[in-house]
Amino acid sequence: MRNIVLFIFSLFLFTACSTKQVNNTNETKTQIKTETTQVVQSDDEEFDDFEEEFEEEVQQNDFDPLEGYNRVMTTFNDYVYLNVLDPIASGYKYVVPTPVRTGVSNVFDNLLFPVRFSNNLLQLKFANATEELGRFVVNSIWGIAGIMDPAKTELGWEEHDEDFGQTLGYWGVGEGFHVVLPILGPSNLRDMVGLVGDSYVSPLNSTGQSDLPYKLRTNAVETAATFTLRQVNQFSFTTGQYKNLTKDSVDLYPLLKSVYNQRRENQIKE
Amino acid sequence: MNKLFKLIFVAIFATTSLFAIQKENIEKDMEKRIATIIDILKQKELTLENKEEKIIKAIDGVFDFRLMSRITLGKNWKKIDETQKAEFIEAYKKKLEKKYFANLKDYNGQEIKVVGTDSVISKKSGKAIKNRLLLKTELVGDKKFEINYLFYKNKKTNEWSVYDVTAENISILKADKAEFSSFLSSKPIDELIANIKENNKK
Repeated sequence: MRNIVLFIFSLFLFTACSTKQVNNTNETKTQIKTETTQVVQSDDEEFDDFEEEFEEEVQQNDFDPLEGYNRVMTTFNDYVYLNVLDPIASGYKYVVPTPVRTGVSNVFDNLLFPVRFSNNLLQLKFANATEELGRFVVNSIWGIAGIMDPAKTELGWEEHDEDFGQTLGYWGVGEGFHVVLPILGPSNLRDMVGLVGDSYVSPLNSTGQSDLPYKLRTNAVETAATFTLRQVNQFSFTTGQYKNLTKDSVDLYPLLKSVYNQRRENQIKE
Repeated sequence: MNKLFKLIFVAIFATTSLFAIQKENIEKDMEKRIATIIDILKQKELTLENKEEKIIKAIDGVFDFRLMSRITLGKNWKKIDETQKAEFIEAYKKKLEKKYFANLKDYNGQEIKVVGTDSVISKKSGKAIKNRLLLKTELVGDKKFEINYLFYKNKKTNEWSVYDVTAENISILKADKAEFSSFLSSKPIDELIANIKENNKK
């Protein structure tokens, strides 16, 4: 009797072994659904979890008093991006070598230190603010007026990009409603206030030059020229990305609005 | 005698628990697929169409297109019939595949790193959602470009599938949902399906 039981027991062990082997190789296949078994009815119950995950987007964006204007401006911006900015940036990219464009980008980034520094402070992110200060000093001196970024490459000090819109968002100010700005693209009421706030602190314009001694531009024309250079230079790094994002869109305005809102949310959180 | 039966009992259950689904397999599986994708991207003899076809084959089995379709249509899903659902899934699947390939082909030859896994955090509660997994990957080039895959576990089948992909932490499904929701507020589903099909041909 005992021998028979032992025999059966050992049989079980062996069958277990063989199925275990087969299952291990099949595990990855069965774990990840194959195409043919795809049409499985998703349970209504199971779907409720997802509904919660994705529902808030729709509710947040319900208040849109400027929708008409926003749609028109989106179409206008789309035309300008594809037919003006993109060709110019592509031409610029063709003519200006990458290291130079990177240098230009770095110089601008370095100059915008006051914006990042003040907003990190306003969000009580003191460690980040200190790192920003360190970056500014190191890059201005050893980076030759900001052309290079030794603070990052040598010291590993990352940039902490904060702006006044993010500061307001950090302290709980809601976005208000969506506004599409000419050329600048999607924004919202809170971030527009943010732009105004930042322009006061930024050295790249003439706003508040009577109060702040470090302003580099003296009038609107200079400001516009500087702004254009920065935009074109920045855009030259991402040629094709806008087109990729938008070419298959069935409704451009809500797409760009969703992308912008998601990005801002991520920026405010970090 | 009893002891032996108990031993058998335990032995059988011990072996069956070894078949339990392990999340770690997702990372390895995706690493394999991504390695295949990188190889395909590097092959200069292949045409773009060929590459697209092969890459889609390499990644297709992971996505739950039916669920993704349902998510992007939101409340409109229940308003359409089975034929329309099938058509939409087919069209949307093609759209996603094209977009996926479009994002990759510009980074040809660059390294795609699987960074690791994480949990998916609920925005409402701030806690990790059960039966979800976030797989982080990075396209390493001049700038790092993050592509993350959100996996969910089907409670019935215990299989893990992708229900969302994020590029630089921007959810593709959320953006599509915003688009479709706006479109369908004034136009019928058939027009949306036709539109998507038309764009797929370009």
